[in-house]
Amino acid sequence: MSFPTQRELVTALAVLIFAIAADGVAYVFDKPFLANSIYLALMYALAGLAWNILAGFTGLVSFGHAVFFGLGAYATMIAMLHKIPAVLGILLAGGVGFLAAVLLAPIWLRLKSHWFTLATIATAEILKLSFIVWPAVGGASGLQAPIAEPGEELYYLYFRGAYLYVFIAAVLVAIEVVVLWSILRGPIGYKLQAIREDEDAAMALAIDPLKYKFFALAISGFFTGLAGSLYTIRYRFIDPFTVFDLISVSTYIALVGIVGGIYTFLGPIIGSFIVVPAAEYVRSTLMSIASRYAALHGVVLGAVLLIVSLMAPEGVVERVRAKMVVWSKVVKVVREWVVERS
Amino acid sequence: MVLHMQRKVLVAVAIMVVAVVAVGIALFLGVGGVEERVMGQPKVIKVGVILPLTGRLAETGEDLKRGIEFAVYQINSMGGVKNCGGAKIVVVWGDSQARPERGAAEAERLIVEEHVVALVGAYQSAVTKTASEVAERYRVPFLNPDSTSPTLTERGYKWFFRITPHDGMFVKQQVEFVNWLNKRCGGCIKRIAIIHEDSEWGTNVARLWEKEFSAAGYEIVDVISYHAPTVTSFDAEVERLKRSKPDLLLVASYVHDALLLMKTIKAKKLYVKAILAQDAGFVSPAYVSQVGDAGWFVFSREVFNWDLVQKMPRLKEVEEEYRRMYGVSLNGNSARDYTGMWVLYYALEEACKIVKPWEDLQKFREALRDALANLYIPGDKLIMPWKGVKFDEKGQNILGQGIIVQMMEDGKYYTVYPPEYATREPVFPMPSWEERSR
Amino acid sequence: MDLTVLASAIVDGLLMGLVYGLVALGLALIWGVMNIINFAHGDYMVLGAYIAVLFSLLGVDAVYALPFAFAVVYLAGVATYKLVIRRILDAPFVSQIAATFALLLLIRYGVELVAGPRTWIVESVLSGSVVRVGPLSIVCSKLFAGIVSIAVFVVVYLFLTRTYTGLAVRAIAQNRSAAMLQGIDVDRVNSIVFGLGVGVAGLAGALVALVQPVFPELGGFYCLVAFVSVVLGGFTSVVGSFLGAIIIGLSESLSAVYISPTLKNAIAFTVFILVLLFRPTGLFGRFGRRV
Repeated sequence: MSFPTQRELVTALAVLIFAIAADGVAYVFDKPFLANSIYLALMYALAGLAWNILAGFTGLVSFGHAVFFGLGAYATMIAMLHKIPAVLGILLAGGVGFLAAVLLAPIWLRLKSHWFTLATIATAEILKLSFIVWPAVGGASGLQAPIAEPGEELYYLYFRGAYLYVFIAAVLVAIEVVVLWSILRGPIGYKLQAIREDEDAAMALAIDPLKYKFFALAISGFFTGLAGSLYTIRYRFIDPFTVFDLISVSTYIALVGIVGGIYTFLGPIIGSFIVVPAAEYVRSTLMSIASRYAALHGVVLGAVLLIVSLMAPEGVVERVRAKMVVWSKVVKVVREWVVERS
Repeated sequence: MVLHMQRKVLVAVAIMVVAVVAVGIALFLGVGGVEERVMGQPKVIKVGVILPLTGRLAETGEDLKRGIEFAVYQINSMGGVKNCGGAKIVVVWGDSQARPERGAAEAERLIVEEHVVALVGAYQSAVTKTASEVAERYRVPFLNPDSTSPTLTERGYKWFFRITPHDGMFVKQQVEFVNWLNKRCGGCIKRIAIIHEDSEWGTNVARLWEKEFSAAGYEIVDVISYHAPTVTSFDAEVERLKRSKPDLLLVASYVHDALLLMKTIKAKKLYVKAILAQDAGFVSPAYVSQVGDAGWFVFSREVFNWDLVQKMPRLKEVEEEYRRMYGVSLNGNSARDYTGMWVLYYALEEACKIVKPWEDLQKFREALRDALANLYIPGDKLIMPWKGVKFDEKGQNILGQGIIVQMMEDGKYYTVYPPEYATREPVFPMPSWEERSR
Repeated sequence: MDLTVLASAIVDGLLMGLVYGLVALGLALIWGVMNIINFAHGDYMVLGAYIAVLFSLLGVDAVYALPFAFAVVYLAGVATYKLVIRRILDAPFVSQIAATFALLLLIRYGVELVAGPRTWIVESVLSGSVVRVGPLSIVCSKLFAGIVSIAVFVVVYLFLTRTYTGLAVRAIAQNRSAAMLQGIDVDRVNSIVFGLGVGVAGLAGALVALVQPVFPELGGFYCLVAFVSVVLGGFTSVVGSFLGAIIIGLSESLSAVYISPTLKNAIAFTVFILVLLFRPTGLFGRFGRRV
């Protein structure tokens, strides 16, 4: 990943403003499905950005971010069940994600490439199975938050529809974007990039790769934990099967990063806003056309992923940027031509 | 530099404007659901139905969907909802994909976007939990024909109604049944083993079984759980059961694990005096059509069975027509969702006396809620072996009950309990494997 | 009595482990030669299982489906190599994962699209009968699956060690550029290896269909087991991963009897992480690395 540019920061924030605007439109026209899609896109963007700190900057590809997501979701749920305000519950989720990352680092960071990926998958599976047989966290039945009494809506962040939740998610993503952007622009970003490009050379420059990988993992855990709390405050029911899921959590988080492009700061946000709403839309449309063949959704998703990874392995953002470079050259030539003529 | 920044802001604003306009256009073109409100068409009543139509439980979902479709077809061909001027019922489907958060999102979409008067669904208790929570938030009646987790009606919801008996009621009835069997053989059942899948449903059922059967004085000798999505072999589990030598084996399984378990029991010739299963996989068409003689003489708790036609004349016509349309018989899943739609129909007729849905939707939903709360349907109007439908203050139908069926040598299930619905005497104790091969 | 249970669990674990071994073997082979993790490996296996289902629907005994399962999935594998894998051999790691994961989605949901979501049981002459060895009863179809697995393993082993192509395969696994310089057609050998790897998994799928019900999402679990086995066996070693799979099968059936069946997978995964940490070359070290 190259350094995030100012333009990327502006674009990221613009996407968030756009999300909120679209949310407003959805509210006015009673389109909860659209608002929900935006919410999910933001949730996956939050986790995807965090995932990409690892993948894009240290080359560690995790397919087990459900670990942090699930623990964050459980932290928020348990906080709510203990009548702790939901806002604190969200922070707690971040803390738990951070802590989990710190505890897992000694194990995970000893491994590289495929091995690292497999270890993350295995860790998520172990956590899922352990939560299934752990009665204190509801076991296989999961946990459901009670309905908030009138007047307690803000305390428990209990709203109708996804509309207001989109704001919360957008704020969290905005914080993440600004925090990550400033970190990556600073000295840490340089060192992370040095490590990814050539670990041995970085070590020769007295950069301790482990230290920076550890840092990246901890940050990643923190923000993915926050994403997990977004799941809890909105859907208010969690069980191990859902929040530790390999496909709909771990894989999707990686997917939005891959489609958007892991070598750009913006990648996961753009990827999330492409993949999630598209998947939701395709699914609902296919449902009304031919409910029997909704497996088509999986096939379509697979085809898209295959095409992206074969045709545009650098991700959609880089692809578009490359196109834009060509385009701006065209514009330049045309302009010069016009100037010459006049 | 200032100029530079200005340009960036400009670009950002431009992107925003374009995006908002694009979204606006997309919305007007009907993204996320096609509006079917065409002028001049007869009025309809929209009902949202959430089922696992795709994903891991798609097979069961198809069954449930048939039940709903068939009931709606019947209601509409009988003239629709008469108190609403013969308005036809239109079902808007929501696919939960067997995932709780999708169930919630679909519930929201159906309520706000499709303006349904009520929600029906959602089979898995986990999905029903999130979907009904949304309905409660929006003050929309949620009618649940098919989820059996006892906790669902313990949440103090005002808009939630469950037609089917829950697992607690089933288990109590199963204890009565085992007591009844036990009398026939002079108390030959003492030791009980349990094997169950480990999702919420199987775990809850196992816990209730343990509690109720030990309270009734039976000895629980073994409890085995397994993870249904990943089970590839039951050999070890069956060997363990052979070691613990139960008289009665209680099973809670989905489809493929039920098939695998019964095949393994047959192959390994595990003998118990009786096997009592908890519905689900054991009554699915895929199981019944493929289990073969490995499934003979197994008892299952059911809510419905085809041979009830002999005891219930009303059921006979329904079943014949259903089979003509779909080529399969009604089963516990399709019959319950079929019944759910009819219960909703009776409540709709009551609510329509007060207000019409197209006059004031929310008022209609309230009227529908009240109608459901006060509803009484006598048993002879149903195709279920129940005393009727009447909801208590928690929204639980207190007149429902299960039945116990047994698969006989023709590969079909026959009702054996309660006696007033029984068409066969139970084969008990099971014949040994050696006797059967003769 | 307890000894019978133990013996039975060992036999069952061994037989399931042999079938797991066939799946793992192909994964290790592809991994070793092309340095690609095939996330769709379990789903190629499911393709084979559905060919057995097709046979039994047509009224042919599913036992005859075995060679066809291998052949069809082999061809599918060669086609996949030519269309997809070849293009990602030198792509970034992430693209490789994304591409094989896309294959997983395509195959899994493609199968569901065609055959529906339902569960199928495959009947054959073997199903239902048991072999009695002393107090043990061994299910015939499972015994058959185990024996076929061993036979296939031996054939693959001989192919790798005794044929020219096998030699080429091993040469590429050791050093691709050196192999190229020796005049080996790497592309051709790669396509054979990919076809063989998934083809063997497809054959395993047909065997699985004989011993357990088949449904579209069946592959996920087998793929995980294959990964664990490959790690146990030292990553790229065909022999090692086969042995690793047998260990997984055994540990599963033993823990199902003596610990909690729900946790049996958790135990396998824990072993997996521990091995990664403390025996990064796999349990069998250099012994397993030779083939």
